[in-house]
Amino acid sequence: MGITMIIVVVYLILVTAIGLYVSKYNKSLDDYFVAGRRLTLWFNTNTLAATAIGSGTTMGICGMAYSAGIAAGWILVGFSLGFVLIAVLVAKRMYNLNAITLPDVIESRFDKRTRDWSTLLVVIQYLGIAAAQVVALGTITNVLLGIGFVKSVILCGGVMIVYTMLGGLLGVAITDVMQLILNLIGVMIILPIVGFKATGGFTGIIEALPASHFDLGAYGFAVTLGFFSWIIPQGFLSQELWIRIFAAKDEKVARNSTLLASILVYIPYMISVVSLGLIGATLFPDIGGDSVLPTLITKLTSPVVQGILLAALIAAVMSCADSVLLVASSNLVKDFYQNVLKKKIAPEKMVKASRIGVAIVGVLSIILALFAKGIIDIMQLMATPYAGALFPIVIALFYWKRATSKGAFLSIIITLIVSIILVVTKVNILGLDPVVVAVVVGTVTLIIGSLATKEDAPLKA
Amino acid sequence: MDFLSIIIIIMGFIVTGFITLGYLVEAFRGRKKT
Repeated sequence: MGITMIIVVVYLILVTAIGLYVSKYNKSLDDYFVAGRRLTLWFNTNTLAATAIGSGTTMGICGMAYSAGIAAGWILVGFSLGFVLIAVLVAKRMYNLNAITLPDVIESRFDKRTRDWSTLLVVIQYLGIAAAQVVALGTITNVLLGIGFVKSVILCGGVMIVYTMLGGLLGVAITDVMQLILNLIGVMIILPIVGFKATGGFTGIIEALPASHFDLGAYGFAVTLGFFSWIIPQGFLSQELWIRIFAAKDEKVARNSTLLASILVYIPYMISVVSLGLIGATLFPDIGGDSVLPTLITKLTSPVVQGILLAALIAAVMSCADSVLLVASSNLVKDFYQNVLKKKIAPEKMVKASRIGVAIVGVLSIILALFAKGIIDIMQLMATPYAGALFPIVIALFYWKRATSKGAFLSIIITLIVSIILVVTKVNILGLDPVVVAVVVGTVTLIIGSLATKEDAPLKA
Repeated sequence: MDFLSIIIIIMGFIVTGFITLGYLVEAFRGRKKT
């Protein structure tokens, strides 16, 4: 076994041990899914940032910067704006709802029927995301270690399921801190130092790459606006970020940790990632965008540093995937099993039921990742009605008192139908992303439906 | 290495240091209280 593999195995044993150690602190549902609502400012900032920085943001944006240049940075602006919107507009109000899941938030204002239909969207969307994250974990581990996709999925997916199942959000948050620091050292310190040394700094990059790589408008205005239009609603509805708001020890920590994670960590991190994309394009112009980081690591560093950096990349994917796994199981146990199927679970058995939920979602994700990637692609299409229907409802829930349960229900049904038509027929309306069309449909139907109806019961919030 | 490259590397040290120290100080304070 090479030194690289040994470092990765040590890392996997460490995260499993952390899950095992904190498992004793999980005594209630709140302990398990929102860490007993006691996360402090830096702890919460770390876990929020670690979750937001996943494979898409690291490998994806690095690859985009490799082929398109600094314009890839617009995506990070979109994600950061989603974060800032959560912090400024809803973090405090959301914190005070004492909720655990998105359907909990919806039921704080609207009726049970609206909650149940939103649960349908949420459960399918999050099972799909969890399975897609396991695929990403398996793919990246295979690229980095070369042990094959099946072994990669079983090894890393298995470890992730075990520590998430045992540790709940506290276990996930503690491993997040370690994963984030490891990732920052790799992506923001070691790789820029060796990369800039090899290119002769930015001067060498500017001389080697075409001028289009330094044009912020390289994608064009419409495409850039398109990025913002789908990234902001999707970032805003990320339950894996919401559970950190619910888990904060008070409302100030909920808001400030979200702002800090965005401004202090996410934006500087992405500047480094875009720089690494440019370094990759300068040094290795003939590789694919997805291979930039692995190539920089393997070509520019020693075997021991390689082991640390590859573990850092696996950590980046894992810290994002474990949160999705936890959220998907909270939706399955709390929203679907308890609320839709109306099954009762005794309070003392809730943690055990939640662990079973994590195991079910985890094993299902591995099965889908290994045998049915087509189903995952179909489940991912749920992103359109998910964002389209739920983004306007959540905004209205906090900011529009005239919104009614019937209007919200109508909005979900119509947006679901329109989204299915859009996805199946692949009709392109004005060149807009289907998510943008769905958000417009969801907003219009919510407004019309709410103005045409009245709330049967007094408003809950 | 030029000025911009050095700034990006220093930014990396500041963010990593700030996050690590912030967390360590908080963890230490929490331990002291309990």
